[in-house]
Amino acid sequence: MAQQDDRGRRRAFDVLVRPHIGVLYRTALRMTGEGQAAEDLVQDTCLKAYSAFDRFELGTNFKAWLFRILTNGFIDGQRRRARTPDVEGGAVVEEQADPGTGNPEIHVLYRDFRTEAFRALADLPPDLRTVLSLSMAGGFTYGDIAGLTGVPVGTVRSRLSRGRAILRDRLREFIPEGPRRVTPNRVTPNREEQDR
Amino acid sequence: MSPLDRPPMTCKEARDALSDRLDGELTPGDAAGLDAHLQGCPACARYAREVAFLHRELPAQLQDGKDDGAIWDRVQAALEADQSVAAPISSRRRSLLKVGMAASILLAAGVGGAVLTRRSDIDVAAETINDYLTFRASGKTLHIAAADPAAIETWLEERLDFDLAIRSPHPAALQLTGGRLCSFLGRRLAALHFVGDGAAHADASLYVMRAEGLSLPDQPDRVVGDRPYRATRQQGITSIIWKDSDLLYAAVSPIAEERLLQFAASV
Repeated sequence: MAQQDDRGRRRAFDVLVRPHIGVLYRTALRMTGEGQAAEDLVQDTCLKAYSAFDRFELGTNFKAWLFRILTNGFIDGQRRRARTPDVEGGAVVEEQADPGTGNPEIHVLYRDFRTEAFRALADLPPDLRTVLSLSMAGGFTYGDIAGLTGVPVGTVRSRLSRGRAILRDRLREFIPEGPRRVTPNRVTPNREEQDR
Repeated sequence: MSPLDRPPMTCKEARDALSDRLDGELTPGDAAGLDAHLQGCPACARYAREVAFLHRELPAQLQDGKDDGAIWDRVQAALEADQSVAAPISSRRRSLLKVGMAASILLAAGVGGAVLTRRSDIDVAAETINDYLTFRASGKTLHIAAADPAAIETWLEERLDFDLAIRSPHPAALQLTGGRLCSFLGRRLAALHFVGDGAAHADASLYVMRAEGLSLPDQPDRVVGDRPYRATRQQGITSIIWKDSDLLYAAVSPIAEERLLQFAASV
């Protein structure tokens, strides 16, 4: 009887989680910046979710519940990391590797938009990276993200805007030039022009 | 206040509003103010085009091509393993067989990440030797490459539910070069990698895991100091296993048993 209950519980869990596994991973990938850590985060999230599954209230938003566990797991990991002083010589191979190939040499030789996009995202402060990941990959609204991260909607809004501005500054070389508007005696604008 | 009554947006306000528009969160009133600002501000108009380009293109760029099915398989194997740790020994063995089957499928499919091995019983020596050989043959890199034990310890402890205490420097001419996170025997393990130097070139892996639910092999004890060690040799590889409080250690290497024992005693 107990085994049947366990099997039923596990089946229900699988049915609810499976549709979100892709977006869960892609959100984790944007948060962590590399595949192995993203897999670890997704695995930890699912293990925690399963152990707390009895506390999930049917009829409430399962996706939000799952992503709250993911977000908390990421934030907790960042806090632990922040408490640990940097150690010289402690380079993590995966962080040096190209996210797609796993080959560190390619990281150096093949500087492309994709590699730089991963780097730019990874260099964002974790609070900006978290809201951008939840918005870009998770497709959550400002209200959802505020609920997941525990910060006000206005803070979510400003973090998203700030994150986009930083990414745009970092990745401008990969953005194609748009059509230039010609005005008398002036071609507007060029890349060096100061923003107002 | 109607949109017409509002003061013109500043560039900062316009850029925040642009971000709202990309997220589908811009109110109609702010939309009018934003469009008015963009009409008269070339810098913000360019900014709008650039952030819109990134909003459109980044989702495709920030992928690593990993298959959802592979992620799901790993989660399934982890759930099986996690349940098996809490279960009684008889059902744990059944669950571990399932994990073994899932692992075989993952390995056959060339899926990285979870390092799992096929198993027929709880045999620490066989499993660690198997993992050691699989890792050497796979050509995969260490999860963290560092000579400093503290760096490796930090990285691994963030992913484990027990504390490591890595002593350095090691005698026996084996130097710590990095570590891996493994998942087999129904639990997460740390695998520390050591290499020899010069003519004595060789390598060794030191596996550290929770001892709960595992028993030491039946081989005769070797005693160094007052601690018993179990030495097993399979497929040309020696595994020396010992227990210290609630952790189990396995030193695995092709080097001679006496030298590996000396290495084990130094940890």
